Amino acid sequence: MPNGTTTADEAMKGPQGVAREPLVLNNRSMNWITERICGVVENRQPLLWWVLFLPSLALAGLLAFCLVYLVSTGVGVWGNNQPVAWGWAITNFVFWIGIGHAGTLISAILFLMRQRWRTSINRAAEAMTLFAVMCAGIFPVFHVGRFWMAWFLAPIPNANAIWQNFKSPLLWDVFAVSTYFIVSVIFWYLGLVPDLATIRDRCKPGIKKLLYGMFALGWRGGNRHWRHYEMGYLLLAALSTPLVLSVHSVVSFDFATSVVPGWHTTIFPPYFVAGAIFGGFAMVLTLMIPARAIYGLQDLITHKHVDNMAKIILLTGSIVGYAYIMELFIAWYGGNKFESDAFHMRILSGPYTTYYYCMFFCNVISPQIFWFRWARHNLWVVMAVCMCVNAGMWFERFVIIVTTLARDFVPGAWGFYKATWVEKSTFLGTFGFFLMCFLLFLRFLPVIAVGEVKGVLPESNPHHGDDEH
Amino acid sequence: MSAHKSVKDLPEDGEKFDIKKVSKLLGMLFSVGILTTIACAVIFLNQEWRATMAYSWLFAFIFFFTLALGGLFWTLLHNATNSGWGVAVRRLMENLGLMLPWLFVFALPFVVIPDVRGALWEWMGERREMISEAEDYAASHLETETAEWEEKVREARARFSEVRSGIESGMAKATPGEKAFLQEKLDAETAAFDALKSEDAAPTVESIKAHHMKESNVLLYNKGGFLNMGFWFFRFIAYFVILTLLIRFLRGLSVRQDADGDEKRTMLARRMSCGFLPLFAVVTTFAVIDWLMCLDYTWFSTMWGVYLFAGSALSSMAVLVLVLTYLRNLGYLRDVVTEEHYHIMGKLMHAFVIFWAYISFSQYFLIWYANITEETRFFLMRNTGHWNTVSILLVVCHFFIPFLALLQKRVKTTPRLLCAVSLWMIAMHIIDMYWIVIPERGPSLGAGVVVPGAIFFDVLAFTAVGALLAYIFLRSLGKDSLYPCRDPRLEESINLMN
Repeated sequence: MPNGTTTADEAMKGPQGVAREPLVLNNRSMNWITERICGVVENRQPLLWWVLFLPSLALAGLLAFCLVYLVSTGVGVWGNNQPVAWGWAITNFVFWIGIGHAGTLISAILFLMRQRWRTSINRAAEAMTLFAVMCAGIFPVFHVGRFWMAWFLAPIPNANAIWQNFKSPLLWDVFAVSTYFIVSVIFWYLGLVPDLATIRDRCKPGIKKLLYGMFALGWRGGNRHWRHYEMGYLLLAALSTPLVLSVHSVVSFDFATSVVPGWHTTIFPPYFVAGAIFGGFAMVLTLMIPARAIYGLQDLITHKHVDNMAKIILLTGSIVGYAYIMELFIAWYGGNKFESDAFHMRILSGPYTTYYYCMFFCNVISPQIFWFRWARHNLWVVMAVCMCVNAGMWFERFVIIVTTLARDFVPGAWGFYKATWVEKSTFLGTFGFFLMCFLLFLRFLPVIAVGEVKGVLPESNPHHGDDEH
Repeated sequence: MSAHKSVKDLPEDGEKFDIKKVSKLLGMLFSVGILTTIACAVIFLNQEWRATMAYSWLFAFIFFFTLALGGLFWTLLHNATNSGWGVAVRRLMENLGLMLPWLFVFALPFVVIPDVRGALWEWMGERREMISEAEDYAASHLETETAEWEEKVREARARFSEVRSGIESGMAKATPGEKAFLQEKLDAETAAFDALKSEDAAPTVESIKAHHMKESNVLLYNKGGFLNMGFWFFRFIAYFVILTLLIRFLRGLSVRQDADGDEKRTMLARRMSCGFLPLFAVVTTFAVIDWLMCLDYTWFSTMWGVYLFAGSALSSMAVLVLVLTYLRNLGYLRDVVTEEHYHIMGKLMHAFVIFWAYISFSQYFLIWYANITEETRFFLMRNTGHWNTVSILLVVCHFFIPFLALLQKRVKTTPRLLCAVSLWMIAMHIIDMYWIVIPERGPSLGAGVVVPGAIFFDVLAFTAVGALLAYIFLRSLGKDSLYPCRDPRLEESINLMN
């Protein structure tokens, strides 16, 4: 079977019995893989690239405008108020940071678990992670009000001799997110080194060759290089695995360490992590399904990859559903009046009940269609569910933050929150920034790890062809 | 690198465990099990000791229950993930899961002896008292309350007719705008009065009862939909029925494949296991909520199910390592299982050591940080006196020591060393379960924190359940081949390379 030629059509029909599906279809050669992936960088970009890039650039400009407007006018241009001091800003922060989880999960955890299918998607997912974390970072930095003082968050001596509050989970966030970002960048860059060298070697002498050469750090592809590289990669994978869990656990602590009803519940850390992976994978699929079609990468990012990611979405979506239901059960069972009222407000009587139903439908109900094989193999269905999940995860954070803050202990302190056009445009702008970065990544860097994907070809197995002797 | 192995070199019908080889051990387990069970029965018969013994029995039961549950979990996970490496050891996972139906037998004291469950789950007694008290109250107060209500209605009627005539006279000279306002007011007053005098508002035995229960124990009253005897019995039976069906079904497929080698059975097992996983999650969660969290019905934690699951998967993997090594020492599975399998099992154990720590830390930390009275009770009790020593011991010995040990590849690939870690892990799981169940006994029985001599009961119950289950387990190993000898993935598994 592994030696047979499998076309995309055959792969659609599904695995024949228990045989393992090949990870690269149509028996592609190593040379084909190099040509195809490097071709994305070396050839002229298709028109569609420009059609996507220019609006993204415009939206990124909108982001810049909104931030300048915010700073020059004052935080009043946002709809934040008492009691809803967190509003869209923190909702968007948690939303983006959640999306930034799939990359490192694929690179680190799936690597440790020997899931070889990760090789075709890890590079793009990691890049996406970095851009998502950048988008996330914008919100808390500007949410502090005087953003030029944001460096006070770092424990370095400052003019007023103010120490950070180390008991606050908000400070832990600063450490968790910045560590995550730094390690993800290093991990991503380390993986890029051999491929940068490949592009360098294919370039004509000139400025391009010089730049790729500089970033390739003198990689020659020797045996010693690869040995050190693989050890370094393994160690970084092991080191970044805890980070996948820590970032969103700490984000969940922002809520769960409080005594606010609806925020304080013990299942928050794993529930947030599952939700982050859930949202992250949906975003990976949202980006990769079009990208594979545009650049003709169907033999490398196959239906098996989409299928596997759809299954992960189903699994994590169901874990999130478990957490929702557990929260409801304990809110009722626990008998704490404030807790059960908080959920009553969320679901039945509060001003934001629609958001709860949207969240529940998008996150728990919609992925259940992935129980069916035909749904996982119909790219339109997959895209539709991913869009639901992208929206659903935003609704989830909105439900947690806004509905809770708008209705806390004392009815006299209840309030209502509505985002202004500035907040909406800022959020839209981050999408532009995110997409712009991703398109630039497609333009300048190899979208698939060339070296790694060759390693999953059948002929890379030292025992390949043993049976024929 | 060893040469490629073929399934053709393995015996066609697999390897069968010859229980005659271990007849001495079996005999010993059986006699020890029976003797200790009789001793436990005697203790149960003694009115004074029964409550103390109930906790010992629950501790022993829950320890072995979590092991068997883990066996089922690994079987489900193996099938659902289309795993190749695990085929060689899957039969052992199934065998461990097959103990679940037997555990029902060991759970019988909870169902059959009212005193036993009453001592463990105090809500049962308190609820009974609450209901009977409320019934007495309702019966004796129906007349007075009805009279009070009639009096209230009479007063309201007088007031209402006064208000109505006032409004009606006002209507005569009001402007249209005022009229509408007055009409609205009149409607509201009418509705309020109608509601008060309607039959529904009349006190009945039921309404007085409900009101009284709410007054006397609002928590237990609110939880009545979940914590009531009928539903509790139903759940108790349902857990075992569901778990038994799941494991018997998968086992059936697996064994039938030994005979016919039909690949479709692998596919069916995979599909069904995916569907079974949510069911497994629900049963596991609510079983441990019922049996452990409800030891104190006022306490709650959304993480509880996950916490118990983490320990269960971890310790059952340790049991699998030990059983595997035992069988290999007797000469079985030598060509099927290699140190590569040990390596993977060690890695999974390592992952679950970390997962357990993550879950238990999160649970502790959030309750500690928020410091809400409703939640801290569980940890207050376990951070007091000698229990605090056990709590700290769990942190160090359930996490740090095995975490550091399993970081090393040599430990994971050397069966002897991995067995040592597995034994350690099982010991820690025993302490974990002890730490969950037994602290509740002191305050519950009201005889002070330490119940004298109770530890002897704990050991006795543990030995009884353990010896008999080990006996049943070893015997069940002999029924079928020790590995799925015609599984289509067997060749992949025996050639496993990490």
